[in-house]
Amino acid sequence: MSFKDIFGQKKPIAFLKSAMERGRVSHAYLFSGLKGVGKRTTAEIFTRALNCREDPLDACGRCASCLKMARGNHPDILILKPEGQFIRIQEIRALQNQMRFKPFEGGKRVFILVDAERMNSAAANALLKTLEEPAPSNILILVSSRPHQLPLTILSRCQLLRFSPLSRDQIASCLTERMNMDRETASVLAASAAGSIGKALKLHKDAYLKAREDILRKIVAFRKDDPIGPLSLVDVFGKERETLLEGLDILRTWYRDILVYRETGETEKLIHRDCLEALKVCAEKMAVPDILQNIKTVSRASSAIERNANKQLTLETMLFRLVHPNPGCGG
Amino acid sequence: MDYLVLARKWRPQLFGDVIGQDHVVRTLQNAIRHNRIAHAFVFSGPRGIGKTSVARILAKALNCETGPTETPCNVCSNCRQITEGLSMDVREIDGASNRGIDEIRELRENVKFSPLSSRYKIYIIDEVHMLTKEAFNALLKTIEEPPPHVLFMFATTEIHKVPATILSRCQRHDFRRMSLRQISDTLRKIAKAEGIEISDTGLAWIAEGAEGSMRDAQSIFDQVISYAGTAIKDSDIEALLGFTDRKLLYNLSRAILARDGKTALHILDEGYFAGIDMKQFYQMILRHFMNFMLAKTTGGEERLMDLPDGEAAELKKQAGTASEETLRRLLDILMAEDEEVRRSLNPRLNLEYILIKMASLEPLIPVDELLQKVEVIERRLSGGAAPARSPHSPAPAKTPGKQAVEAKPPDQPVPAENPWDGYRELVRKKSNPLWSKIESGTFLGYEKGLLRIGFPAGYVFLDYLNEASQKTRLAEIAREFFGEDVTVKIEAAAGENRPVPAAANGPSANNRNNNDLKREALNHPLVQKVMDLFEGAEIKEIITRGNRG
Repeated sequence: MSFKDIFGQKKPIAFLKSAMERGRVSHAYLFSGLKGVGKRTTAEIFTRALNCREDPLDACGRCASCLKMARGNHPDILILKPEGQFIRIQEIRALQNQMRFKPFEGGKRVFILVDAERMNSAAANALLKTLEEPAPSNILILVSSRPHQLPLTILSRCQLLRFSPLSRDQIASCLTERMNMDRETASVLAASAAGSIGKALKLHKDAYLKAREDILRKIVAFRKDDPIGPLSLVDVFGKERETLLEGLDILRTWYRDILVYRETGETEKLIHRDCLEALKVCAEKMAVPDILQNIKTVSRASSAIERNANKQLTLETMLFRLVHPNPGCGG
Repeated sequence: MDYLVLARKWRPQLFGDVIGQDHVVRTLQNAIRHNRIAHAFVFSGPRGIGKTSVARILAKALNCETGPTETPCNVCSNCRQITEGLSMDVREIDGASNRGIDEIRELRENVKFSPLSSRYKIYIIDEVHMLTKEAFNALLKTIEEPPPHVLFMFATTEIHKVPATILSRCQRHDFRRMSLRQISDTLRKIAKAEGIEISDTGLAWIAEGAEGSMRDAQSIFDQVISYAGTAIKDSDIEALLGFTDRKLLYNLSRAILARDGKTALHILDEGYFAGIDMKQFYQMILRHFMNFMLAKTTGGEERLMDLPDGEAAELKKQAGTASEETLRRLLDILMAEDEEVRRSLNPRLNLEYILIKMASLEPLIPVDELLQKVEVIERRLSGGAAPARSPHSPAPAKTPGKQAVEAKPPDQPVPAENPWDGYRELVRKKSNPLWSKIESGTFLGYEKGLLRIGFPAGYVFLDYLNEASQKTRLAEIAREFFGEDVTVKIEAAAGENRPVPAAANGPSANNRNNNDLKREALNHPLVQKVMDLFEGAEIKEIITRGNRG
């Protein structure tokens, strides 16, 4: 893999390349941005490029160093991950110990701290001196989706690089190329992933598409004059907490789409663009306060379930509370 | 050789290089000059303003081969070793990584040995606030009375975490944030030395982004150079610093105040795809609207609003377009979602919800303004009612003398069908106490300059009203009202029954009584409560019991 295999992220990559070209690679970086947009991948490829013996600005993928990295047995790339809840001081101390020796392969040794914001206070403080003045030939890359949770003293010692979410097309083409997905599925997944490839892949694994279709079909077909209608909907959400929460999230995005369509009248920002017809009908029949009300209702239900409320009751209450467009919607 | 970032390359090596900390530097230099050097120092202050650097310079000043001197030579082996961090006599300890009592015990063991090659054995403990309680306490005796050759220097960003027992044994120096000018001047010097072209505006922007910290400024500068090379355009800096975030914020608030949900959504989308973390964006919006409130309530005192220059004007301009009530409600909507946003897995949806809710808020009118408007309407109504009524009563049948009517000023209440109401009103205007006494009276008739007012027998104020002075006063008012000389006669009616002007009015008076009763029933608190509780309740019939029986 090399830089060109990363989808999107033109700006940070151009920045890193230009730093390499000018010989101004800093010893501390912070890569920030949404989960699953390629921060860690970029950090790894940056490491390969720094250590590559053939290509000064990229990873060639053929030299000994690149091959070792690809197989995961290069000694000079070290990845620190939270163990449980936090990255703890022991791991930072281990990092400092490793730094005492020169890089084994004579290139640069790179430490990648994944989810850096999960360093606890002791660990973050322990890192400060090292982050400011690491031993020669050592580079620290902090990767975080919540950079503002890091102490200012850490931020002040790093160069900050922001990774942006990917466009829908970029995700769709990544899915079709990497996962051999057909275009239609890919574009639906891409729309729901909100700019994160990681999320798109996870959705794909979780059989999101089927769940979505079930929920949307039922909610669209729902009729107000059917008093026990809401109860029949409960089953759609499944029994497991996780799937249930995801189902509620789908419902929330459905009302979000109605809201966005009603406000803007545009379709390109919609998540469920493939159900446009039903969506339009609903948007016409529902007033903005009702839509807002529905979103609130769904949010309340999912936070109640997060707090281990009775699932069946919560769902039933929610479904009864939802304001439905007049009968005939999407019918 | 590795590339050394600017912050490390340009670390001050002499007291003269230290920027913006004159109060500290001067104290230390004088202490050296007069040979009054304390044995323990604490350097505190925000990040990146020179605490560690000053500690190192002080170490050099004391241990320099030419010293102790205010200007270390930076060439002797002692100085060079300190700069490179290799000196055996100057131990720089990372207090956050070596924070336990064991490390401190080890340090105490070593304190008693005299220095190898220089005058003092100096311990610099950086990030000292992270030492454990036991470690701090183990240090107490040592830093109170160390051997003559030992010096301690502590540096920390969080002085409040250092125990008071430690602080009282040290000489404390508080470092200050740097001004924009100091930062941009230093950056200009660096740019010149490094052969980098950059405009003054660009430098000012970087200084602003650094928030008073020199290291932040140098980190940003470094980043700009890595990005744009040696010829730096303003647009490069703008792109890197994320000024666009602030612009988005202002566009967003403008859209919300204009109640334009569509634009607000577009801006949110733009922010999202620029990579702004949505939870942080929420905080930014919250802070932004808080600033609006501050601008509104304080009249735009900039000290209270943590703002870059030049934004205050735009802020005030936008705040001017909305009422305080509206801003408060918008802020309420924002704050109510704080918990939700914090826990949300998909904060972008929450933000969309919030923004549309905010944008669809009807503009509110301040209560004061509303009251004023009501007052204006009231005045217009009462002012407009008098002329509206006058055509109906050109000449009251019972008032004799047309000339009297003509003589009256036009805005005076005209005697209507029943002049009693008008008269009472006038009395009220002239004298409230008097009015309160005749208020319950009954009009018995007005004929040929004689006004007869009836009261129930045993009325408390009957005697009072019969006094000559009160009668005169009533007569005076009556003259003004009727436009001729009037004599007032106060009559006490016999019995409980209210005297009625004529016998024919009997049933109607009875009716009125009933109406009063019904009104009373309607206004009864219990009935009111029932009406409040049951939406859509209506009162169909009121039956007075007395009549039925």
